[in-house]
Amino acid sequence: MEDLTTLTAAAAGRMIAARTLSPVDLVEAFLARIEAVDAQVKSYLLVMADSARAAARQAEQEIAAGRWRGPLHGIPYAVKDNYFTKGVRTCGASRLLLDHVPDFNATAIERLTHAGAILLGKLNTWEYGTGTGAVHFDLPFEPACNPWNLGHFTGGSSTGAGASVAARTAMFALGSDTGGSVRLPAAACGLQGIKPSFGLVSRYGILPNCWSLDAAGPLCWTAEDCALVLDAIAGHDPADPTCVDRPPVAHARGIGAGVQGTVIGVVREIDMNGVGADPAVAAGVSHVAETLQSLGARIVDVALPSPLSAYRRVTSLINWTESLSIHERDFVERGDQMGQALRDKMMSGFTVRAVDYVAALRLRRELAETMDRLMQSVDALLLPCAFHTAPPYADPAAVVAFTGHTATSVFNATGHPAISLCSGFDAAGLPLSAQLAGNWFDEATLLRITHAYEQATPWRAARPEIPAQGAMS
Amino acid sequence: MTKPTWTNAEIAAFAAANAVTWLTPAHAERFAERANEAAAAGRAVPRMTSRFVEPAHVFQMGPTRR
Repeated sequence: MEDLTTLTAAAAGRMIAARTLSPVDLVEAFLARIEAVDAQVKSYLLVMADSARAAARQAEQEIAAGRWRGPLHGIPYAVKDNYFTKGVRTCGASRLLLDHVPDFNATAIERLTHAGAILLGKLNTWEYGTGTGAVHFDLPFEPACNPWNLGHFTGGSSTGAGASVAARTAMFALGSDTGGSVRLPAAACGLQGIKPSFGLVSRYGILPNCWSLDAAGPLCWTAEDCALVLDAIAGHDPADPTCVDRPPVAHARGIGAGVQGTVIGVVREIDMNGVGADPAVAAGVSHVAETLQSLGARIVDVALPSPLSAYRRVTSLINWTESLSIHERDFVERGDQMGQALRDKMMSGFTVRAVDYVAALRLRRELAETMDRLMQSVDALLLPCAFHTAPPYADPAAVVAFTGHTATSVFNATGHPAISLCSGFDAAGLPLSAQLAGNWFDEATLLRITHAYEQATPWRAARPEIPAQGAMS
Repeated sequence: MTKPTWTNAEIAAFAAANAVTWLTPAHAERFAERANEAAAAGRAVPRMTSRFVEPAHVFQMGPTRR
């Protein structure tokens, strides 16, 4: 019998719509998978088995009665534990919030519930969904492990979101991205993870990290799954003052239209303070470009308008300052109970001068405008995402470097949408990644390009094998 | 312009003046490192030559939230 956890959300959705797959069976398959592997992967902080089973039974009854809600009806998913869940602990992996039970759901969860998706539980994360890149092993929960090699880092901060979809303990996951926290776990774990345009998806009910930069987005096995999730969660929400009021876009429609004539600007020369992408990562980006060119895309070489360090400096200052503003009381009163990474970040914000913060906001506008002029000359930009593959936890400097040597914060600064896509595997079998960025609110083009690349390459056929418990060295 | 540099004692005093009372010496040392990093980052942001370049505000009127 087919292992139901290997299906994509789109495929499972089609089977559920055709009544050849039971949502109850699908949810049970995922709960069994969680039981089998999650003691090793540690993707979940909390599994909501009872409510998931009840929702699956309800979905089955509704569909049997002819009330099919759409392609996510009956699809099991999970959320990073900074998404508020009504009546269910939302602790952000922090000992400061271990008793925190919200009385409302995040808007994105409400919308997925409306679409019929089934919440399996709350996923591991860096504390409060943020950090410095370092992992100090000082939180109340152990860090999530990379399903491609359990001794390796998952990328952060949406650690459990990356681990769960790769380990098949969730069909898709929601994360949040302030400087790369959706795209970097996707990169480390071999997934597709999209940070939507700033303002496309409501952040209401997600523990804020940095108002100016936070974005909510899905981590999925395929671009088509990302499109289906975006279709469900995008759209105006008056509860989030940054959420734009635009006509809805059907991201999944037209995803198979191919890339003939699509203009893709490739950024080949790129470094973060002198450190460039590993040769295997750079080769992966080139492979993406060559593959898309063979499919009819027009590839042009371009350069970023500013060095990566300029975007990083601006986003760091904004992030440190706003994050301290959000969590000031927690830091002042109980900073000693925070893990070191969160405490370090709060300390960084504590002495930022107001004039430096405003200078960063002013430069941000200029960075966004110059990037947009480049973006308008192409349909998408192709560049590295993470410059390295997922490092071993045993190498703390490499763990920090995995987050530091990236080209992700660029698009948090500029607000453009960006997707991390799997571009193959290195000699050790760890996933490689590339990044596509697009014009504001043109997520559909990024998903169409990613889908075309998936169809032309074998990478989506490979799933990580997780050794039986006790078999780890 | 002289480079501002926080010492452990200075940052501990500044923190105490702003109600942070839980600092250990190790915390203060870390705090000073982070404060100096933040100061350096702030100094490194180029200033706009035009007074008309406004910050990229995100504020927008909306309903009162919880």
